[in-house]
Amino acid sequence: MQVYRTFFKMLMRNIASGLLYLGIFIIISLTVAKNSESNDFTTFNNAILDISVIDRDNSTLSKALYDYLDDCQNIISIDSDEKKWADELFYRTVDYILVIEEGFEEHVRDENYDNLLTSYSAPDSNTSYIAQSQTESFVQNVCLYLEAGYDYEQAALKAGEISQITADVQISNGSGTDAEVSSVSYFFTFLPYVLICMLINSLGATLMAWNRPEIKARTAVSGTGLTARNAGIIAAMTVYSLVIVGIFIIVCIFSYRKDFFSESTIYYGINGLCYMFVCIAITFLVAQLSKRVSALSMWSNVIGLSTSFLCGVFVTRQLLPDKVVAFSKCLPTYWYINVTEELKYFSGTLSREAWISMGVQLLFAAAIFAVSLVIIKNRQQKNA
Amino acid sequence: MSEIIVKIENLVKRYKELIAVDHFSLEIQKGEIFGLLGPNGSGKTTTINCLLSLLSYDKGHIEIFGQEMRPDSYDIKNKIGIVMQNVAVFEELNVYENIDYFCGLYIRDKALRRQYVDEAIEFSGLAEYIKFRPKKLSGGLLRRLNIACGIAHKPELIILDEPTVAVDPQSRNKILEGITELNKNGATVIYTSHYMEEVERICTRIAIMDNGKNLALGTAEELKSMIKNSETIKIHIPVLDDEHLEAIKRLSHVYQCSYSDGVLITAFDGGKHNLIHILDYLKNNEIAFGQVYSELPTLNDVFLEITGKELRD
Ligand SMILES: Nc1ncnc2c1ncn2[C@@H]1O[C@H](COP(=O)(O)OP(=O)(O)OP(=O)(O)O)[C@@H](O)[C@H]1O
Ligand SMILES: [Mg+2]
Repeated sequence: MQVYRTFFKMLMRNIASGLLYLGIFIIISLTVAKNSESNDFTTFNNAILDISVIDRDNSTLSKALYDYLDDCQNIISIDSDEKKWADELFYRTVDYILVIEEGFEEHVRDENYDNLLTSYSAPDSNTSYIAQSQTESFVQNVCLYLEAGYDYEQAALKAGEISQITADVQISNGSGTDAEVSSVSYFFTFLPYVLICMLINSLGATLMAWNRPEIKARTAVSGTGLTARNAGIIAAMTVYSLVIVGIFIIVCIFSYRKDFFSESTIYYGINGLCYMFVCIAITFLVAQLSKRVSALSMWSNVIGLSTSFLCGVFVTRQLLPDKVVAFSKCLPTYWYINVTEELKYFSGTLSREAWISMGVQLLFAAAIFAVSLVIIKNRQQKNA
Repeated sequence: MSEIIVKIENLVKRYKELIAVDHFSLEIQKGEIFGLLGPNGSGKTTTINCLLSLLSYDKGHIEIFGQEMRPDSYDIKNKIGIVMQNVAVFEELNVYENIDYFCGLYIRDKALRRQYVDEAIEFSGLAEYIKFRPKKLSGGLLRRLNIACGIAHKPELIILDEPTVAVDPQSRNKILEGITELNKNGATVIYTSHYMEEVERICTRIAIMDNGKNLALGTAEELKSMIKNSETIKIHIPVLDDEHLEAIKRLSHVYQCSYSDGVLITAFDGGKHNLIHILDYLKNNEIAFGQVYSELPTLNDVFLEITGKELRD
């Protein structure tokens, strides 16, 4: 208890150097979040096409196809006079025109509908294919359901659902037409860099004071046992780190208000806690290796910057060379980013891989801790 | 009545080739202020560190309070107060917090601890400085803080390793008085130093150490009586013939006599009225002389005679 109290007291005195990083971090994450928010929105808008659908069949199926396309794209009405369509397409009033001829529903069942769906695209349009492929996949799905014995109405409904899902999958593959990425994710993507810097600078300095040989010797001959002393130090380190992460969360709530209160934030938080233990372990190791307190800021920058660049904190992983990505699997930060990447497109449940990634981080923490203990043991033997 | 508090048997500690402690044995009784006197590098700190199980040793057996001392003997460690040669305090904490921390490693009870810390501050005369960080303290005050941190929990056995190194005479006096007071209040004390005056002044028994060996053991009087020298007389004599020098050497109890730079140094191995005999000789032979000093043997003489070298470098 005494060790815990004093260690914690000393930590809180060093907190100032840690808060400096917090300040820098808040500025960076807010700016990045602001910028990317507006960008995302425009790309999303661009992906929606202006199309027209001329329904001459007026059947259940043709109406369902109309509704489906209406969900995906922006349908505007145009003159039914075919001669004027060329102009509409040329001036890009619409990108794509679909004509559903009479008898479409009848002939879908025997898959003989090719002549009954006529489409026109704007010249040189490189986006109209989206509407075309959506139409095709919808009709193909309807055929499958009809074959399976559904009636027109049900088949149309099912086909609509399936097509919706495929559309979502295409989006999460990250092809530029993105769903809106929560700004909270930017906050947590940058967390590893800040957390490691803060902990090495503030926690590291206190640990080093404790590691000074005369203090170590003096404490070793006291009536408080080794286990109790270590427990005190570990408890203080954990509580302190939790305080730091807590400050982060509060800042996060203030910055993102509504975005913050979603289910994915909980998982971001759990992932952050796993990485926190990695940072504690790294700090513990650095405090053993570092000779002077002044060397700590160098250590924090070397470790913080290098792992952040290699593991996709600053630059998304898609942009990194494959060899770098392969190598970065040896670093705990890779596994942290694994989870944040998944959470960017969070759909309600976290995958097994994500949980494993968090487990791997904890294993890293344990391994780094073990290495530090081995170093301590070796040193003791050398001195004895 | 004599309860043995510390028992060291045949302790051997090697640093590779160097034998830092060489078959060292010692018994310390309750209520003693035991002095470990030896020059720099004689193995005092190493002995203390082995005693406290801070260092592993190659051979030997150590008991404290009648129990074998091991690295995990926390019940023994709880009753020991240690003041290390290298000041061990936290730069990040102020005087009060430092004493409170170290005291708290032994005393869990809050109220009792507060009382003990206050007493230690009072005892070490640091009341004015409780809010100071160690960096702002003078060398003497820092040493006193180091001592306060070591003794605040009122241990039964106090070990002080050169607590007065680099301390001015005034602070040194205060420290020595304090140690005597702690002893009067019931603590057994082990005190290491290479200052023979300090050891002679406060210690009830003394071991003289060199090259890791325990060379001699006893009270200051016993140690001095172990050696031949009982008195050294120095006389300023401007001119002295060799003939007279030889005659002085033949006076009774004189075992060593030299004359250089106008000073005659004569060492006696016992006997009474040595000064009168030598002055009578000078007067009878009409030899002019100036200042006269008579010195009783010091521990330095003891050390000199045992090792053939001076204690001080
Ligand atoms: N860690 C070590 N490794 C190697 N040799 C050491 C080590 N510590 C001490 N020694 C050597 O052991 C011998 C005894 O050292 P020790 O510190 O015990 O002497 P001391 O009597 O306390 O001296 P001082 O009065 O200077 O404190 C010295 O020769 C010293 O150089
Ligand atoms: Mg020493």
